[in-house]
Amino acid sequence: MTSFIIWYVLSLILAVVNLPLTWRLFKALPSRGYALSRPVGLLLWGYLFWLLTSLQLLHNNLAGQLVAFGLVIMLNLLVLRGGRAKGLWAWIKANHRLILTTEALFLVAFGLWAVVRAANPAIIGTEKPMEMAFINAILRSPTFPPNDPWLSGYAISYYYFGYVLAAMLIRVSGVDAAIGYNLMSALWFALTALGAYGVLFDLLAGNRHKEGKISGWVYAASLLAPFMLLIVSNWHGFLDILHARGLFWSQDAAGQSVSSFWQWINLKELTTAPASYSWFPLRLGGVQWWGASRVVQDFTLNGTALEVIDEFPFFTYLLSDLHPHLLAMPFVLLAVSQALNAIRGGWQGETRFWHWRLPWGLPEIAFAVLTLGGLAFMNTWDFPFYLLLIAAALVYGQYRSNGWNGRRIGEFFLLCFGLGIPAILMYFPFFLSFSSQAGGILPSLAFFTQGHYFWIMFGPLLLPLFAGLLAHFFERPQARAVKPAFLITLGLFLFLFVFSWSLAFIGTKLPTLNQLFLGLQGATPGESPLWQALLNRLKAPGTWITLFLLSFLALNALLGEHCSQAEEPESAHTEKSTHTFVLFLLILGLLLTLAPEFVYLRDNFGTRMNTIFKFYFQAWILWSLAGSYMLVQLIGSATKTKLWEKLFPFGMFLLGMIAMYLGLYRDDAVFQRFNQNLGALGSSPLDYIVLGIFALAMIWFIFELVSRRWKMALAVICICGIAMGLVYPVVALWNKTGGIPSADQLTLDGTQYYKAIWPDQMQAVEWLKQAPLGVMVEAVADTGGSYTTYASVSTFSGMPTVLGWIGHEAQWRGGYLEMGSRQNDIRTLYSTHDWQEAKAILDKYQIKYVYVGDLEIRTYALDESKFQEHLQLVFNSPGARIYAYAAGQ
Amino acid sequence: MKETATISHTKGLSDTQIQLSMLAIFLLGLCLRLTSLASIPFSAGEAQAAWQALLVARDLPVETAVNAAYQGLTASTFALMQANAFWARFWPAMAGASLALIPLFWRRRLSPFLTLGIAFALALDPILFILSRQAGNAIFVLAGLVWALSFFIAGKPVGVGVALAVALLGGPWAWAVLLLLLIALGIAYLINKAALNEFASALLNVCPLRKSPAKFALSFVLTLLLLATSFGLDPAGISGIAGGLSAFLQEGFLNSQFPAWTPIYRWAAYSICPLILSIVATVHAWRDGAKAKKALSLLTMFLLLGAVLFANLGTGGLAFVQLPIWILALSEIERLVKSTSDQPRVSLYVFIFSLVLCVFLAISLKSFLNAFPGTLAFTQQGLAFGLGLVLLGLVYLFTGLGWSFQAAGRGAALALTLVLLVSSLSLTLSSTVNKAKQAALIWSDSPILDSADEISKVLHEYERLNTFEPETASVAILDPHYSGYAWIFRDFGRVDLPLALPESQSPEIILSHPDWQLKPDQPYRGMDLVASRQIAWDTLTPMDLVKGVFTQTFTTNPNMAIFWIREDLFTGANP
Repeated sequence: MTSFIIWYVLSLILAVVNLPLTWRLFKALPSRGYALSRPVGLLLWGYLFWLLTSLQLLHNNLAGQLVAFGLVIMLNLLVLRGGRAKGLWAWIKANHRLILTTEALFLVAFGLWAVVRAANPAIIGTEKPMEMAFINAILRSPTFPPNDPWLSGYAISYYYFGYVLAAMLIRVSGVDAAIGYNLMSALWFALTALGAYGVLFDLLAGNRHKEGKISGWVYAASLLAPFMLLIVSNWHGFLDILHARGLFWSQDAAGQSVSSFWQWINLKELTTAPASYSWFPLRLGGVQWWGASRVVQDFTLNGTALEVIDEFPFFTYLLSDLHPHLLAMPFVLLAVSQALNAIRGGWQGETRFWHWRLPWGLPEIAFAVLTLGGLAFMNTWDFPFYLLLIAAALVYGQYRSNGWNGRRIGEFFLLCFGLGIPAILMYFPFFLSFSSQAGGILPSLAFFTQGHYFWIMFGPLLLPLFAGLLAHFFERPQARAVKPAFLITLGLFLFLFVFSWSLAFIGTKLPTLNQLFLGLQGATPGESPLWQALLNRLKAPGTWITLFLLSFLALNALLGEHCSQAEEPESAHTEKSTHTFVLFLLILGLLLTLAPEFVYLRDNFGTRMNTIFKFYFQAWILWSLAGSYMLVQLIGSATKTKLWEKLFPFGMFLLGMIAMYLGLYRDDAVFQRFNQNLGALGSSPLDYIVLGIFALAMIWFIFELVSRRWKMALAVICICGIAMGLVYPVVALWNKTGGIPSADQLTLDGTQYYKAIWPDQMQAVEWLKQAPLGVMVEAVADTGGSYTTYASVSTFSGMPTVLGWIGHEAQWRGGYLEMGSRQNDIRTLYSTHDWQEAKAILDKYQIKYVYVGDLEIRTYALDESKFQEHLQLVFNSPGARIYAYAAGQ
Repeated sequence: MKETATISHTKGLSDTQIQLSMLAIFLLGLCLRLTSLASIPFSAGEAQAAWQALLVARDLPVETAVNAAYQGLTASTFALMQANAFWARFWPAMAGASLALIPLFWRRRLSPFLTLGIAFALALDPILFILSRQAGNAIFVLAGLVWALSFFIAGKPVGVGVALAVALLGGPWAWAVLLLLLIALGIAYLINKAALNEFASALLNVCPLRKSPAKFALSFVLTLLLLATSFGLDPAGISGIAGGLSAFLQEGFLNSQFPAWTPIYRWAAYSICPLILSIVATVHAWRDGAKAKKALSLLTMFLLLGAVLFANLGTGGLAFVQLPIWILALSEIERLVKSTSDQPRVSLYVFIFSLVLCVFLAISLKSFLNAFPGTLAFTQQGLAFGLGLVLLGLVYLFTGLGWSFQAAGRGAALALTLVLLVSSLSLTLSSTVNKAKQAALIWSDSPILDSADEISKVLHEYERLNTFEPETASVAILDPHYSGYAWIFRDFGRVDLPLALPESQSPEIILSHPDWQLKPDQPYRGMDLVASRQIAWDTLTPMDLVKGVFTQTFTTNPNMAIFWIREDLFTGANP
């Protein structure tokens, strides 16, 4: 609790200190970027600290951080010069409602997710140890680039800026890193919620001013964005409970359960019938909450299924691996807000570079460059997407001022370079030490997302998007641009198809690429892979059709919006720019989902796994913002509802809550009566409650249609889609946290599990944390150790070990070159009887600490006597020993 | 203000005389501080600070300075001069001595007596004196803050910038004082908002920074950068700008390793004179409603409370109390001196007689406390002391009854004040005695490295008798608790602090924990020694504490170590 309070106060200080700068930068936004003041502060503080430490001007310690924070304070004080302090104070007084709402949202989100983390805090499994290792290594490194915790003598080769921010917060708050790890997840959850709230608030408030005041409805409606972004999930959870309830299964003649529906859906773990029926997934041998991140499956040309990652924010936070895509989220929303600020004219000013005169203010340009570079350093994949968005927003501003002509296209490319290159240069020290695993672009010949996978994945977001676009299409016939929208969409698809197939064709013809390329695609010898791939796609065109329609409707709205050349008032201008911006978000998301249908980035895996993961995740962010705006517009523009009409959603909610209670309740007769070993549908009262929700939704929809309130009818469909997307959070949260733990079971300490299982090892870790920095050595798994508890001593102590998780090192560095013979050398070191041989290895890697614990004994034919004889025993406990070695110098 | 200024011009010395007197006091304070500066044993903390400065001077990697002002000045001095104990303590001594010049800025607002009295007190107060003879103490913070305030009053923005930067770089106490001031302001705001606003606006009106903020900012930033980087010797030393804040956040709120009463005890034992006089002054101030003195007494209490609350930051915090307490004490002395007696001759006789009795009391008290309880000497000395006290009381009583209580009181009070002042001065002077350990033991926050001399002697003997050459020899300090000895071995070719003995290299000297075991193939001969020593505050009885006030001696805890010398160096005679 103390740690939580410290972090809360710390975040509050960040918000207050950085308010002047944020207020100055986001001058065209109604919220003046208030919700973003924390990410703004973190970015600036982190950048200054990282840069000055990389340039050896600061030490990587608390004092260095405080100096950097002092610079941030000075910058903010400079902003307040020239009477701005009074302006800011007046704004605060006038917008206290926004400030209170935002702060309340922050506290609730931070507290909520801290409790979730406290219910399952262990830093174990998946890639949490890797992230913990990065954070601890950064905390221990005297300077930057930080030591690679799992490859001594090398710097981290990964986009590690997010971990620098985590380490900074952990250090300045004085909490243990393993507690800070979980608080970091909760804080980022809250920052993301705040960022999304801010974006939607600025979108809505721009249109809904009443005599200079923002309507109260906007404050509440803006909550939809964080809800859609962070809570609403894909439809896997909904399908999971249908599957668990035994729907769509029948018995064949042999008495076997068969289902053409589930065979067609073909979701992992859902292709076989459940052992017993219940409204809560209880299947054995699977991790229920995991399946939603593996909805999409790719198939090679010979039909082999390949794993594809399709995370979405709720899953990401539930998993709580502090992966770059999670760490970048608040800054992605910062970039989105900067683009919105640009499109609203907030960048207006003048900046001169030699003889060039730019129509934008220098602070805005500089901060955009800082943000984009930060994204490149935090999650490199995001960099180009948001560069495009900001450039597009600026070009739109130019178009508004100077009209459309060919120069705008030139300006767009110039802006991409003009912002992109300085962004890279600002973080140049990072790029010097970074070796990416990305090895170019490959045509996605065999791999594509089947339509039903795409809809299961994005359904809750696609519904509001389509609803909003359809409403626009039918409501505003004068603002249609059917022909150009169709042609551009067709051109885009054709271009991508030709590009991809041409690449593939070249790949099949070049002898050096042929084998590799066709091997990856699983081509059958003797058959034309290009033709075979095309046929496969035409058999399952769902995603293409969906994206084609979406593209057409979005382009129609975008182009149609600007057909009219008539003079328009300022408010209409704001509204138009808002709509345009939302369409930009939608189109960017569309491009992110369309591109991997044709090409993907080549990495160590050779599949679309990472491309889909990173692209779809950003698409989710963009579409959740656009979708929530469209849904609010849809509901907001519908004619006023009568009080009794509100009974439909209320009834659905009430029934949903009852169903949730009965579905999740476990320990006594309630569960047995309502939700265990159920028979056919209708055998349990719970069945009727669930069907009641469905029936209410149907009645509501029909009622709206009959009332000719078709926009509201569309909204009902969207609400149902969202409700389906809410099944996963309920089921998965319950599943991951094991129900609601009692207060004394809650802890944020991520090492609690280790302390219980390996207390001696954790004592050794504590000893190492206090010991002088030096290379350590511990056991390496024969299989590489990824996702296991190998390398956990270096993970939690921050001491660089000779070798950690081999597979991950290979991914980060694009190969095994740097690892050399380390794995064998470590084996020799532990098992040899020859001291001179061991000594040569100790000298070779400049090892200072030799750790001997449970894993070392189990992994190697350990000969400890040579260490006992020649090394200094500096830590000794029954289950763990540390020997110190000092090489002669 | 005008009134006091007039007094100084009509009754007091001329301005030139005051300036010359203050210069003389400053020189006296400086000379005394520099006396035997190098011979007092280093504490582990001091040695660590000096060693860090030396590493900077040698262009070797260092940790972030906690006291960047000390490190910056000392490192550059080491680079220019020789790295020795004198230069390691030179700048704190200078900073401490410079305090005596502060009243120069206030002389037009104070009487000559107070001006010179404060100068004298700041120059020779035992606490300020001892603390300013330690490497890396809080003296830079005190000096910086007081100089900054003085420059502020004098309207010198550059001076304010430089002094404030020095204070900020002077260690964690700068931030503790800042926090205390903020809390004090908060309390003042709650108690009397209007008065505080009035004070703030008055302060803003005279603020020299408003007229030339650029000068202030430039001097402040430049000083920060120059000192933190040790005048360019250590560019990464910029982190040291927040080194004090970092230490304050990490250590300031932790419990001290010593019992909570120790700061108060140490302070009281070394501040008897100003403490007694300031209590009297405070009583008078609250009785008479003297606002300035009331505020001063509150400030003193607040700073004392701060020194106790942040005791984990070290004894340095007590230095901040000395300025306000001496102002209060001197104002009381001034009142006493200036008060007119109805029978001056009687006062004089009482003064002389009381003085003799006080001297007798002081001598008999020391003998009484040094005697073992229950012995004849103890009884005799106790009796003598008691009789002395009775006699002093009778002198006052009979003089009062026979002539005048006012005259008797004035004479006795002046005698007592004089004795207290002398006792204060004696504490100051006794700390300059060559190799004086007691003051160092009492006022150090870390153990005293009192085997340094012994080790130096042994090594010197080896150097004389054998083939041992320190310049090319290497030392391994195997126990991190004795890392301060790196400074003691600074003239050796190489000093390492490894956890294990280097495998392929055998250093000539090893300093290890007594538990450390030699391997059979390691050819060394060892010598047990007391590596460091610290007062056993936890075990002292109330009687020990009472005795300690007068005798300045306390029981200490020794920390043992083994001093190993490689066997092949024993080619000649063994000392």
